[in-house]
Amino acid sequence: MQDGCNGVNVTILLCSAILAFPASWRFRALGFLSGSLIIQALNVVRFISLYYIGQYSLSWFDFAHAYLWESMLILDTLVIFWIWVSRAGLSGARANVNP
Amino acid sequence: MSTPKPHARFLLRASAALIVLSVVWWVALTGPLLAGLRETAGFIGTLAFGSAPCDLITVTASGDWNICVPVAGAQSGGGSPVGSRLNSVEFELARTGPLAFTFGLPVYWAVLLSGTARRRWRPLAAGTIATSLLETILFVVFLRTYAAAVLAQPDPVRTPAVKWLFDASQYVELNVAPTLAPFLVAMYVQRDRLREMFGVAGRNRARLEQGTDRVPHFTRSASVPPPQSGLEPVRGRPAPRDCQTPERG
Repeated sequence: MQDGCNGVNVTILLCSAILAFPASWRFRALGFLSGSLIIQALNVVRFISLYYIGQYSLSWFDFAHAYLWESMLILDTLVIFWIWVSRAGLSGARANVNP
Repeated sequence: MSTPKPHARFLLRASAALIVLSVVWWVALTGPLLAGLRETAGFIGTLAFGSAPCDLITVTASGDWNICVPVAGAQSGGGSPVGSRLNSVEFELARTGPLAFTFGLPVYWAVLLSGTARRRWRPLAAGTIATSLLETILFVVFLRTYAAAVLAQPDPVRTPAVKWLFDASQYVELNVAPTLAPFLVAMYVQRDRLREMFGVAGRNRARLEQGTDRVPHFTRSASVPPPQSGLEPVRGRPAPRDCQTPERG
């Protein structure tokens, strides 16, 4: 297992997107924390699935490892960010309405 | 049974489409797409680098790619005889290297087809062309960076920082950019949908702050009713007539 296998690249992607989006620091910290935890949980699922795929076929393992799961993790990160953005917008609105 | 939220719907559709389309890509499309990449990269590479004493890309018997990047007049690194100049840099690239630059298409198709837009054929065609072109350009940039790294290799004054820079750029060009490119193209092609996705939060905020028709004015000093979902517009009860003009008291 190498450095790139720990989901750090998509975590950096999520953190960059969260940092770039206007929101309170508290909500950003919440996004970092919960988003990173979800990504790590998905990464564990990825490890388990790759183990079983590797038992079945090395060619399919290469496919799932290098291509399919890479894109799935980016897709999941996009959806995590989407959920966070919708929550961040509502939270900011409540904060502004009820100072 | 409640209907799934837009996030969950999109995730389920996109994941299913990604699995199906990437399997189709792996089983049937890698050959034709690699051939297409070889032709277009050869053409763009010749335009970008100029003529070379050898073909930019040739395929070896094992299926790997032999790359010949022209570097006319480049001075070789410190390990070579003094004053020697190179015309080209040659290196072999495993088949999995260029393969990464063809995977953008099934990813783009999956993201696009999982959306809810009705007219998909035009964005599908435009995005397919844009993704293919972007991936080809990224591949040509990767070849040039790799050639630069090969040129700098025997240099004794090469610092660890320079080595790190080359390694990092190759990692980004080979592993990050080709995977990220189709998502960016999909976002650009469907930017109206994107505005809709990410703009709902802003609209909710604006409605709450301005106290427009959907949000009763009395919520300014009271609590805001919790929305059903993060992506649904905020639905409050219709404001009583008395509350629509706050100056009345």
